[in-house]
Amino acid sequence: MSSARLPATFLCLWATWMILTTSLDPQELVVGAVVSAFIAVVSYEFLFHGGMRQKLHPKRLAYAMAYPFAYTWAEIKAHAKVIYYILHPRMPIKPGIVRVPTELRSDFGITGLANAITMTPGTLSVDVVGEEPSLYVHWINVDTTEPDQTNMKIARPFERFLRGIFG
Amino acid sequence: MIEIIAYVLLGIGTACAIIGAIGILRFPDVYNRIHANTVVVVGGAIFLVLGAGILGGISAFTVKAVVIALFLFLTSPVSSHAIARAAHKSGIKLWPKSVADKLEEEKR
Repeated sequence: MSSARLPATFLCLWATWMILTTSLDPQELVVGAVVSAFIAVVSYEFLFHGGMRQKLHPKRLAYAMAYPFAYTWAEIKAHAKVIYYILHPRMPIKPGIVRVPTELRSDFGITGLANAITMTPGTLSVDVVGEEPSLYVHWINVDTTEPDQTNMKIARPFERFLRGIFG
Repeated sequence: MIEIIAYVLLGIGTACAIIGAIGILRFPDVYNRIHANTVVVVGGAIFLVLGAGILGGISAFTVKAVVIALFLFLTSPVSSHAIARAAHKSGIKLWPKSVADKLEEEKR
């Protein structure tokens, strides 16, 4: 499998280039091939781990398809809340940094969770600590500092999907 | 029809950007201001890019707009995270009315 990783990365990048430029002009293709080859050589080691059968498992694809919708819904709710805090005359916020334990173990999964938390207004991941990783999250309206409860309220909407996708 | 959708997206984006800017001015400390900044980036920039992408009808330009939105989405949390982490490491205090700082307790 590992011998096919470099060409696979190259082909994905080149196909993306062709879709974006929407032309089959030889000049465009050559430039695209050179740029794709360079990026592929630099980055192929980080991509395409594991076998294809595991990669394209239907359950994993289903999680990947459902994630954007769940994510958008969480995003809309969070936006409404923070816009309410901004426009409220007395600004009823209770900010603080809380510890959020997570069940995710893979690097991609934890990165995805930290980014999802940061991208949701109202929660902002400040640091990741520990062997069994915990995120330290700045929360604009602290309901509870109990680790189980914070996990339920902050991480749970994303965690289920990310564990399905990245393990 | 497609124009109406585009104008709705542009309207939502503009409103989010204005409200987020007010939030950046009103919120008390750096961490809270980053929350308002997220409203500007996610609600503001991404809706504006998507609205601009479909304003002239669906074409290859729309695909590029979607890709730009996707990259904004992937890169902006990294900078927010870096600012917050640097602020905490260099010892910037939370707003005095903050209710908890578990990271500070962990460091001791």
